[in-house]
Amino acid sequence: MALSFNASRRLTRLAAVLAGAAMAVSTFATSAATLKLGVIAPLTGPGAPWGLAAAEGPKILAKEINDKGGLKVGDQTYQVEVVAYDDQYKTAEAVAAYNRLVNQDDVHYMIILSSAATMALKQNVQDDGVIALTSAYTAKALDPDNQNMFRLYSAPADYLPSFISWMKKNIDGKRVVIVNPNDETGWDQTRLSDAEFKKNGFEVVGQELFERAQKDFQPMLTKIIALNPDFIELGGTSPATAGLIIRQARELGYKKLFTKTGGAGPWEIVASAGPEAAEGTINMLYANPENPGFQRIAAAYKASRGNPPNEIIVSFYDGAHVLLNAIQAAGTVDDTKKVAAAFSKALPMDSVQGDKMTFGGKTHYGVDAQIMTVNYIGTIRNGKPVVLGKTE
Amino acid sequence: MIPLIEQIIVNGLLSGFAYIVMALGFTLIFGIMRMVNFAHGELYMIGAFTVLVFYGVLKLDFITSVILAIAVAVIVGALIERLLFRRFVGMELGGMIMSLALSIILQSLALIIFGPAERSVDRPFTGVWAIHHAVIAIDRAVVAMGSLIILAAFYTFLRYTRTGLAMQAVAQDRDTAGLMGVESNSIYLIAFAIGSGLAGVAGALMAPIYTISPYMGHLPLLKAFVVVILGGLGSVPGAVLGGLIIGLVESAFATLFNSTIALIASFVIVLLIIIVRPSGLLGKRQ
Repeated sequence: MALSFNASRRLTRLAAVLAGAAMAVSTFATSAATLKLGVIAPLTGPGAPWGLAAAEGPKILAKEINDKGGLKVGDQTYQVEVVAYDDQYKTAEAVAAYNRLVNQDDVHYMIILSSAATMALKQNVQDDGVIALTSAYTAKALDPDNQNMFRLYSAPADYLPSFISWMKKNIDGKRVVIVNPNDETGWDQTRLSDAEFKKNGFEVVGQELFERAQKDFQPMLTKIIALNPDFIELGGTSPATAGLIIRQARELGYKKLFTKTGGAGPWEIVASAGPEAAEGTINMLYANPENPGFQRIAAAYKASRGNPPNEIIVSFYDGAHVLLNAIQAAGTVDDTKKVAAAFSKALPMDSVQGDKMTFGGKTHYGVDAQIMTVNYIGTIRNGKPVVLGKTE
Repeated sequence: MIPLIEQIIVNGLLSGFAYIVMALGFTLIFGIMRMVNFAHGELYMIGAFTVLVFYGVLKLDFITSVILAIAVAVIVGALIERLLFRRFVGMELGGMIMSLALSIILQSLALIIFGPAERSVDRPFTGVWAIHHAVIAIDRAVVAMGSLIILAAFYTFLRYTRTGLAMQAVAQDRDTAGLMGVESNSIYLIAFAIGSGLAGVAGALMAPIYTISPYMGHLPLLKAFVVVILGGLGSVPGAVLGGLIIGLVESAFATLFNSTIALIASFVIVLLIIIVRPSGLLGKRQ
């Protein structure tokens, strides 16, 4: 069957229109390509100040990138989208959130906040070829057999030696009681700080673990005060809970020092304990409150959520930034093996506070899979955090 | 050792009195309506958030804020009873499922309105009293004294008022009470409102001592549950005895061992009671 000339021309026009439409759709698809970054963190409950920082830090970064036109990876430009799920600091919820992210949301890159969730998901991350950035304190989060798990900041194993060495020179007294939550984070923090305190000549007169949902600490504190410590170390206790412990200890007549070598959150501690009770508490800080970079992130958080962030937000902002740089260095969003290998190319780079971030971890964990960051040593004065020094 | 024992007893009694108020409302609702109210913890949470709003934000005085918290909890309780629970009176399973659903809804509403972060309010009472070797925080002593006043008022109400006597009659036998002219629906409404008010006052009194969050009702509900199972579901003297026993046991085990062992100990006691005396220490056999 032969087509008439007119019919042939009409078909040619139709084909041209369809081809044009297809190209337009293709161009639109290119410009609207999305790179999803998942977050599994406690968005409710005592760990919410950290979890909200974990969700909002990357969102602030994503907005900055998207406002500039998106993230260029190879020939493609991506809009960055952050998908955050609440794990309520519970392993079962974290596993459910992971399955939602991977199976429903098609996410290949994610941040996992807690140690318990990280340990539960470590094998899945490797099996599924997902790249995960963890903020878990546990040393077991990283191991040479897992190429997909990275830590987004220096962990206690990295900064505790210099922190406790600083304490040896700067605080009075040698008798310490270590208090931590009764979970993977707390066990690890207790083990590490116990070893470091002893190495620096401190006497660890007691160790206490508590359940994260606990609010009444008077029985535990009665026992601690009877041990007559010179200071009480609150380790990885969440900030609001640390404030409750400080307040209840003051009520029972404890007048000496509190220290907190992990977890930060001085504003939440002050809000919960009251400025008078919290005065003088020595506190690890992720950010210098006076730093303009931190203040910019804090202002963006406040504009979004209406209240100031936990200063750990800078770690999640920086961690997500390193991850996106690694994706750019790899030149692909699909090949996560290439992205994993590109972390060493993405670092060193400057943090939002201007400190140098490097790639490392092999000394303590047998594998370079950690963003090595600088932490600050602070104290609470008149209800506000003040920086006293930096960890090494 | 003696100072430690004295402090253990003081801590235990202070915790016990806080548990009693929570458990009284829980056991009252069960005693009258045969309904296990899993949303009781959320009425505690409503009491605490009401104090946050009136005392923490609007800067009313604490006592007025507590009275307003009781009023809000009573109104919410009355609405819940009238709109949702009345049809489930005597149907333990249906009521339980309804209360679980309500609990999740109330938590989610609080989450939407107040956000997930833990909030604190200034303490209206500060300082400590030293009695012999023990130290008593004044704000906790205020809660204990408040509990004693509430307990006395509640006992007087049940024992010496017509409504209180009618409540006891309905709890014993709804049909016979009905034949005597007792309007059981009114009694259900009053009992649920009072039970909710008790949860609300517990939350209001504890708000300055602990932090305030949408999920804060979990633990008090669990404690109330343990206390009333130990004392006997539906028994008011049982709730008092159960509260004091649990408070003292937890204090002793948490001080001498740790809080996890204390939690296990309180549940072991409940298990033993369920095995040996299923109706609880002072509960009536069905």
